[in-house]
Amino acid sequence: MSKTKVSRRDFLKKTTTGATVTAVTLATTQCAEPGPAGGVDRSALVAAIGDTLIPSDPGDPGYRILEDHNITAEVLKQLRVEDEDLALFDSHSAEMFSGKGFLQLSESEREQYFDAVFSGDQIADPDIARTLQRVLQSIRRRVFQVYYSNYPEHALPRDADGVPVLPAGDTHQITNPNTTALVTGWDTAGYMGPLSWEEEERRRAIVQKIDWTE
Amino acid sequence: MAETKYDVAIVGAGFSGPILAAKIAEKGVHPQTGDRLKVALIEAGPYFPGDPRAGHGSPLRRQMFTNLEDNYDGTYLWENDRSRAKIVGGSSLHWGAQAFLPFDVDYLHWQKETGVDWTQENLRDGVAEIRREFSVHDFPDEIDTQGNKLFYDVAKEMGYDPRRQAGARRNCIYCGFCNSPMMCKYDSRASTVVTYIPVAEQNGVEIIPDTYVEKILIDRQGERGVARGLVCSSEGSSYELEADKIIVSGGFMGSPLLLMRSGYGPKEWRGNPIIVENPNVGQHIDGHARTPGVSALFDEPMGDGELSNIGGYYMIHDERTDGEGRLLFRAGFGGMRLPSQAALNSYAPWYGREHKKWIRDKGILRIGSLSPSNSKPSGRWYIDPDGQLLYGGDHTLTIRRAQEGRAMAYEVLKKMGGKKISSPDAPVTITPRTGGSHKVGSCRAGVDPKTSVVNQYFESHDVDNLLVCDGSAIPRVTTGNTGTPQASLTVFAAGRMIARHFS
Repeated sequence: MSKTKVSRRDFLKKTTTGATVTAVTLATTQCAEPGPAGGVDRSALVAAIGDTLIPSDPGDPGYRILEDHNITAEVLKQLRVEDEDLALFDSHSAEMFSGKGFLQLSESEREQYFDAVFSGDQIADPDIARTLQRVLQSIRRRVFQVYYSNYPEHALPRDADGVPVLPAGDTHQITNPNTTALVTGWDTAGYMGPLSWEEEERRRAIVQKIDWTE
Repeated sequence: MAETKYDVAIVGAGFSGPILAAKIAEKGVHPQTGDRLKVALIEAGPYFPGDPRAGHGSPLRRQMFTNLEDNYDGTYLWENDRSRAKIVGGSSLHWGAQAFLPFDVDYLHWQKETGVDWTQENLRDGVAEIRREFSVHDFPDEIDTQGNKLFYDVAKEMGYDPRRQAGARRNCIYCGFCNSPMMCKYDSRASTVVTYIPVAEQNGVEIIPDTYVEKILIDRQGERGVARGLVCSSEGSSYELEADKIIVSGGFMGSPLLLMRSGYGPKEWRGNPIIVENPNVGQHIDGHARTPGVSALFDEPMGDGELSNIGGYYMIHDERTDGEGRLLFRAGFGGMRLPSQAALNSYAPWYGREHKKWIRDKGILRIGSLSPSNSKPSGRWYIDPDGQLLYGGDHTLTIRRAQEGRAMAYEVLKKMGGKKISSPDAPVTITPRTGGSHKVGSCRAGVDPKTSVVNQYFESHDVDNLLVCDGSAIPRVTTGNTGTPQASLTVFAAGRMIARHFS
């Protein structure tokens, strides 16, 4: 890893993506659309970061498998990170990993990069360190929120009046949209979500013995 | 559209409005005719009716309150202030339902602040009613976590006086979602929807949901004003509604903003022109300023996650006999959180397989915290002429006590065996933007019209036929949260209103 101290201005000038970054500065910021925007591929970057934050292993899927359900597009909807800063996050890894941008890094290199960003002590320019930390923390917050809120099994369809549409045959208004068809955040966490009727009854049976009045 | 002539129109169906509506409709009569009163209860948000059944819930509320993080519950909040509820039941539907009925010093602080005669004796019946109706009782020992028990033992050993937390719940099955906080699917949390709204409906109160009150119609008569009706809007159209008495129960922000929109408030207000001036509208807002607590990570789980962690302990630390600067510590150890909250906990690993393991192993159960809040004689929020909430005053005591509280919390956590403990030394800074909780006093009651908005009977000092009763009338924040104190005070207020206006 390079320990060379450079200012953010110098850094932008000398890196290969500097011109792009400068151009991005002039482009619209806080772009919420997935996909390439002014030179930075927000979607690809966030997807790669998400995959590192919540990795997948054989038999233990993580963030990546939910790409088929557009999880990154969901993350991007409320992600408040400017293109310029995201581009910096992408390109700054070149300083540490022989000119490789973040998308070119292996998983272990991405983890090393995360560690460097979180600790901040391997990044010479404090302004750059703060920006990189802000980017990673913002994406981390949003990725964890979306994933562990059980996307894409996090909501129920609603009718025109906003009333949740429950599965046919439901007689107990059970509002848990989680299924066994897909490994989602709740499954990863071992979290049951809104209680099933059986779980309600189990709890009522316990509480009726200790603190119950009809 | 609602009918347009009422004896009483109550604006806001949150914590106070339904209590007033139920009691006035049940016990009050028209003072001239002796007839039953025609009462309207108007709410900007929706109404989900249904016969309450504590521990089970009613079908519509069970269906609407999904306990999901799909942001739909945001529909029940004000767009410009996501901390305030907009639904019949108001914040009583999403408070923590931990019951801190008024302490001795709370009555004294009210009296000292503005001279109101809201004594412990005068509120006795109101407190007793809320204790009964809200099912206020200590959380059962059977749901206590081992972490909470350890805290109790350690705090006792250190000479403190920890007490079991009381809850305002009936037949709670401890799903844990009120920690989020979400709505209670099971009608267990004491809300005005499951307590007083049914009484209001039985006594003919017309509940008018999804209706925004744009302003109170106030006529100027000499130096005073006279309230005669409301301008309401619903489904895109506006209409006027007449009422002999108007009671405002819109909450600590909603009430003063409505008064100011109606031309009643400080002359500096930059909204509608002022008809009747009272510089105290939107001022003197007390509450618990947000100061950081102290948390710790333990080697072992402090709870099993089985019946949630609702209801730990609290303890009080006074340095003065008058309770000024009082610290209230809330202790919670080994409680579950939603996965999305656990994932972002400051003790969770940053990312990767370690983070997944933390989530999977329910690392959140290894965490506990002590959160001090402070009662102080100075430091008040106010609504500025542009409608912004700002914090001002002398914060010396608040800062000192917050730092002392954190140092005490640190020692307790250390003695409990906390391995990583958050630093108690970070400076406590308070700025005009500092937030807080349990805010009260923006239309405060008092005996002096120069320093208050309503008298101790909840009647406006300046506008006839206008009353205010909700958190905004309370001159000082209480020791704990204001849920049950406000409800108790509202029962008391209803009695006073009936005696003076509806009998």
